[in-house]
Amino acid sequence: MILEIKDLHVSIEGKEVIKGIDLKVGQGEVHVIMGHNGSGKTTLAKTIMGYPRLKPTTGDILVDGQSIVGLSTDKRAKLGLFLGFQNPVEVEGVGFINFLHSAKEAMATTVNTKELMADIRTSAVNLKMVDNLIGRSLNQGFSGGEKKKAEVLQMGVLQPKIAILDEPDSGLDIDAVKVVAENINEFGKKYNMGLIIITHYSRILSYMNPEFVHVMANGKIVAEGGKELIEKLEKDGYESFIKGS
Amino acid sequence: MNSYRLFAEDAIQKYKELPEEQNELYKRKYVSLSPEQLFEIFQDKKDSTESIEEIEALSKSIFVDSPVKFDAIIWGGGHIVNQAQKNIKIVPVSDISMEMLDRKLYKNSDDKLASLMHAFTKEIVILEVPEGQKIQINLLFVNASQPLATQVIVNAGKGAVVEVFEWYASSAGSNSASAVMHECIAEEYSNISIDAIHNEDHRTTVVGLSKYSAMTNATLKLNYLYNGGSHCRVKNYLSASGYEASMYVNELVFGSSTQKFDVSSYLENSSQATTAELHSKAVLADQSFCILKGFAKIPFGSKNARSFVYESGMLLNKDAYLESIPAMSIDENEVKATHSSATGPIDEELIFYLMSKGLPEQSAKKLIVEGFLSSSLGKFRNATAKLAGANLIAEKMEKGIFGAPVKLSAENIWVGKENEEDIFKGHYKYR
Repeated sequence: MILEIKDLHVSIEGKEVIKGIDLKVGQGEVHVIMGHNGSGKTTLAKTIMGYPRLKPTTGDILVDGQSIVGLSTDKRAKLGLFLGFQNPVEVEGVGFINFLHSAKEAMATTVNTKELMADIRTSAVNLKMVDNLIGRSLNQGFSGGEKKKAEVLQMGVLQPKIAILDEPDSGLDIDAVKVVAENINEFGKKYNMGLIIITHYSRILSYMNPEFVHVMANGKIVAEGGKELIEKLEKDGYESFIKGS
Repeated sequence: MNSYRLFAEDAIQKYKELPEEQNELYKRKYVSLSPEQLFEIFQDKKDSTESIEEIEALSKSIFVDSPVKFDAIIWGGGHIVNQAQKNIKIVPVSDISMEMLDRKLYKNSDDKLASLMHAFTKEIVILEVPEGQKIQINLLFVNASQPLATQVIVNAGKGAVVEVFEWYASSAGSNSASAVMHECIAEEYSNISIDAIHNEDHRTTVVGLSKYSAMTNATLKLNYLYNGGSHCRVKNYLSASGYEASMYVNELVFGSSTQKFDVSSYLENSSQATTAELHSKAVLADQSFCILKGFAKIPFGSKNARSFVYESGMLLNKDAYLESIPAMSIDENEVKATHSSATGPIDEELIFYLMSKGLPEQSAKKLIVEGFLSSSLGKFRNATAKLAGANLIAEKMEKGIFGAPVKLSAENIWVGKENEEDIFKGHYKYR
């Protein structure tokens, strides 16, 4: 599967927030999008996933050459896209397992509940999640870190072809950052996923091996390259990129 | 003109004098019933056309593929009681004793609607549970070829434990009514729990009136799901009359099409160290309408009383209407009391989140609604009530159906647990 974004422009209430983005991601590739607060990273992620209030004004989003702009969010997920949220919402009364069971079923796969439970348990152990967390309502009462781990767990269970993880490291302590990164790596390799990691910080990337680094500033990708860009960002910060944009 | 008609017409006249019926402002926060229409429904009643066998067959079809044994079936034309169940008596109004008549809580002066309903009541269901006894009773109420008007009296003796499961169904096929009044007294150290599910059809007007009293250290637990009926008007009065008595009311309303609900509960901590909790939740789809009124009263002298009123709602459609009105009247200082209310449309962030994981929009909404109602459904004590309630909610979400037989399947059913955390946690407190 190839996800391709072509000259994407997005406006919110008349203000352009994504100003012409081009990006191409294939399965098995690891991409990183870095950028300052408000640079448009989350807007880009949500637009790719079809957030109802974010419609492209021009440009296109393609999966294997076919435009997905007219598809609903669930249909995009069924194609193999996944979004790990920056701020996962709490869903009152919906059991974590029940939710994952419903999501698997919606993907038109036959769900073996025992296998699903076993998968969830194994992933929860690998992610060092609190014992009773998966028996509780979806994200309700989870700490910020546990919510992020739960997103990664969902990614492992749903096995998308391309996953966008919006700040999977924010709110995590330093040990948890390592655990999350290792699990993302493992799922990525195991299921040959394309990964788009959105982050502000380089710490999580020190446990990963991104091949493509994109820097966003003011709604545009202002620099692209390999790991060397991360070092430059660490040294110079985002300021030089913002000025350049 | 016969005396029955005179009595009913007098009741109609008095009912129409109610401020709610007169005042335009009140009318907006009130589901008005037409007393004339109700009168006509009851007046036009013919002899029951159903045989006992037909009613028994109906009771077996209430739940798809899973017949549940009812201890008593009460319908407009009669009743069937399981003879093995010695605690239930059903007596004609004309046969009840003066003592029982005196104890009837609904007097014309108290409630005009009750007075109207009394005009139609033919039989009274009496459930007497002696001291220390434990019983579980399943009751089925049906408005069939005749509308139903009855009164249920539950007397739990000292230390008795009474669990009642009530199911309300219809098979009238025309405009009909189901009017059931309750009078329950939990004597000291006793425990009464009632799980009631209303699943009448779209041509039934539902009227419910209840008065409950809990004596010293007694507990009342009332769980209601209002899912059926075209119009539903319910009033509950509860009083924690004895020291350390507790009462917990858990109301769920799920409306669709043009259903109208007016559910009001009045809880009074009439004694010291008593507890009153009211949780009301409503989910409204299509053009349904609901008024939730919760009122808690703590009179002077009820020291160390605890009272909590919580109302919340979810609107699935811009044409649905919900108004929740939590209110409190507190005359005593040394109490804990709080109320809250929150209503809004279904959160689009939640829908997007679930859809991003592959759930179609309708499935996402269904999951959100089921989750919202899940913790309240988890408070139902009767396992059949929990399962049936969850399936009713699922059926209504998926197909908009109500008033029809329901599955008792546990497949894809997720019922939450009762939250045992302190209800005052996170809420504003009076201390």
